Amino acid sequence: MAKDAAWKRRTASSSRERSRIRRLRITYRKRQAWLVQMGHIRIIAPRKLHPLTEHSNKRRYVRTITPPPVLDLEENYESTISLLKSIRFATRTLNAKFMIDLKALREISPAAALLMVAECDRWREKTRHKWLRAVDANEWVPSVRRRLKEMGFFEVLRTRNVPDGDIVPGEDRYVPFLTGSRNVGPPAVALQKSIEDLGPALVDGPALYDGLVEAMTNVKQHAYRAPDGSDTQRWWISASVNTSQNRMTVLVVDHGVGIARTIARDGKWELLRRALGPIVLKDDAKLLAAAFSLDSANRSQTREIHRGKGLRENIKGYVSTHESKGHLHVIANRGRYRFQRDSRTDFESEVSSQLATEFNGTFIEWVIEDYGHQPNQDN
Amino acid sequence: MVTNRTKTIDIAKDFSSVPAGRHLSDGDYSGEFFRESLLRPALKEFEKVEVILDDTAGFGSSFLEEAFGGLVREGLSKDFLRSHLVLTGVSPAGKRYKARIQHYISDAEEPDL
Repeated sequence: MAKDAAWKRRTASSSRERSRIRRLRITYRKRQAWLVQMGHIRIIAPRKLHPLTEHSNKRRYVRTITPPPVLDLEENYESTISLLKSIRFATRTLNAKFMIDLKALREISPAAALLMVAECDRWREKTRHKWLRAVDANEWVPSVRRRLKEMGFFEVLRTRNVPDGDIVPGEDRYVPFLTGSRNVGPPAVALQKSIEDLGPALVDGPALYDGLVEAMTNVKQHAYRAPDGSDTQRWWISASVNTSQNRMTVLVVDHGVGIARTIARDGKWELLRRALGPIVLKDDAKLLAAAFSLDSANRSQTREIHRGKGLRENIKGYVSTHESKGHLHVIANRGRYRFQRDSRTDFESEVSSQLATEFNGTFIEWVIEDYGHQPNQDN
Repeated sequence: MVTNRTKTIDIAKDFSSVPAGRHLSDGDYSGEFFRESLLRPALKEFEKVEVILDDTAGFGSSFLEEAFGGLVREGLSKDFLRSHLVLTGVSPAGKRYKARIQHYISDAEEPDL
């Protein structure tokens, strides 16, 4: 009897000890993960003097992300994506206690501006109780401030009284971004109206509508698969126009899993494996190119032959049917795809390339020259 | 407009000027909703159904494929649609959509019986 009681005590004690060690291990692992995160934060967001306390007695330091001078997905892809990843990482780990020093920014492309807006808008949605602020917008480069303002960046930040920059003739004008997850028709029409408000009427409005609604519907159908439901099925759209060059840029971005990753789910995996070979399936650039060029004979071998037409017929189709010069630029995962066409010279080219840094989501850009009716064409 | 044996569906007037999306979950004016609420009931009731494709903001492929290709997958034969469905597109975009719909119908897989 006594022996049994002693044995029970020993068992209980060793069980307690095992639980204690398990708890310690978990705490240790969490601590290690936190140290790794903070090590990364020290690199991407070192402490800098808060601009509002610069001339006060109580100086305050804040973790600050400094962007590269140029944000552009063409010329400066790696640095641009690296900045966006840093912002997302900082919002997750620092819980709003950091700053982005946009004074350092000299130039921002329409695509990069929309990505910045989408990143901040997404963060605002996730932390509704916190506010983003533009601390020293007056000191930003005026053209950068004007572009971000036109696109709606300060609406996201809920910052008022941001001065308008002077509009230099010949510069691009940006249209306010729109975001949503369903009922994609009205926003597509609203974006077209915003484009036409800044310049001439679109030559082929229905074709742009088709491309936009397909890009946005794809987000709903394919883009988001977060198992924990942490992502929202949202897209962001915007555009810029340059009336002096009669050039328009239209943009769609989402933060989903990307086109290359969703091909398997659409039943195209077996077809692609047969057509391209198993090694190619690890190449996002080739997957992306294949997604935009699968012909109907190939599609007939897929399980869902009726799906996947929008990429080729509408998204690529807007460039391939427009009577002018234009290009489609798509980035998804580690792949970049570009389709160019000039109807006047019958020139057509299709290029895909692998990217060193992954883009989390899908980015679609149409650039169309001679996008609008010139006054003499209307008469 | 309804005559004795023909019904005309003007999508822009009778359905929506901003049709988009494939499934009901994509939005209020999806291809599936158009097919189930207007197109299929009309094809059951009338000898001929004319669908006018002009004057909308446009159509994505998802909408058109689900609305018209979906009829074949839902059991209406391609021959039946050829003789009972009349597509009208006068504008350049309308003509383009008409050609696409004909392609989607001929491309759609009929269900196994």
